[in-house]
Amino acid sequence: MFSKLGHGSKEFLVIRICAVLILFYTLYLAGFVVFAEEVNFNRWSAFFENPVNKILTSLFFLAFSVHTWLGTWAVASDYLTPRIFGSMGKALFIGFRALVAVIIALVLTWAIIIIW
Amino acid sequence: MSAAAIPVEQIKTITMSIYRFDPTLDKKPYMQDLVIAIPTDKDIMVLDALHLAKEQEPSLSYRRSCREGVCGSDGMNINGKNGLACVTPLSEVLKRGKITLRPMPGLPVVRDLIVDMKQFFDQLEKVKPYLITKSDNPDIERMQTPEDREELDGLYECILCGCCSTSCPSFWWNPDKFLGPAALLQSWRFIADTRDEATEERLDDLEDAFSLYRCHGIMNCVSVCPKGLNPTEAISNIRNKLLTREKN
Repeated sequence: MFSKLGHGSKEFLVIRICAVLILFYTLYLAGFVVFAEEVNFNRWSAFFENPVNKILTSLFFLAFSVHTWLGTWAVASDYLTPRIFGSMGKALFIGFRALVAVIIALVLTWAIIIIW
Repeated sequence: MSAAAIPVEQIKTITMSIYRFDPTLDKKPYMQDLVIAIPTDKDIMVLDALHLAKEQEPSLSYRRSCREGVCGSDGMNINGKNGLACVTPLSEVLKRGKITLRPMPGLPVVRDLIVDMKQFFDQLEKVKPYLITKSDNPDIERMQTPEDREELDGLYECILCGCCSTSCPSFWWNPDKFLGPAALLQSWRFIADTRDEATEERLDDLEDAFSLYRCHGIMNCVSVCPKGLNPTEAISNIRNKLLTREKN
């Protein structure tokens, strides 16, 4: 079903599925903080030692990365264009995309190293 | 209506701040304040006030035709919000005796309040706003049930004034790629039409990242439509159809 969708439909679904994953993880983490009797180093460490939480946190960062990559593409293709910036438009777009790619790669790598 | 025809005791003055630009004379656009006399015993439309302003300033240019919200010629930006001058009562938009008129945003200005609508109509053309049939013509007309016909209510009434598309930020930034609310409303008008036989092709044409999906649900289009139509809902209907259709 998904593979038969066009480019725009796929992107629309992926960005929303990622948003839902981000929302659920945020609520899950907020639930832990709110309902834990006390949040100290030991409890916090124990929470992230749990393999289920490791997987959920990794999924969150993956969803966050995909959401950011697609979302910033939409923003950049609105504002960083030759229509607005003339001959500089394409360079600005590519520069911005490269910067976002580097930031996402760093955040994702760092997060995976910390979690695992 | 001429200003000279109104008795003195029945007039008050208002200031119309109007966007002026004549590419043959002006290096850049400017706002011109015109003080005009309007009657106090009745409400007039913004278009009537423009006619009075034109008596003072004959070079002032704007489009108009039917003056009753049918032809869609006099779409303009009235105090920051797009609308039809002919069906907008002056009393509704006058603020401290002043009204500001600009051309519809996002399109190239030809002169004063007149914009070049080419980009708008190019996008409309892409959605093939006409019935496409493949089967043989029936002996009489192609029939619809009253229920099927009702599906087109809220869609066929569009007068293509351009108020919606030119108030849409997604259309401002990508007027060549994003079809805009007016064209997408027309697209849904024919997708929803039970007599049309090109639904799959129409949907295929909309499945790239820009044509339809650049709509972010800002809903300026709904807020400004002078006919009270809902392009955002039409776009949402197309999207649902795209995501749920069974493709071969």
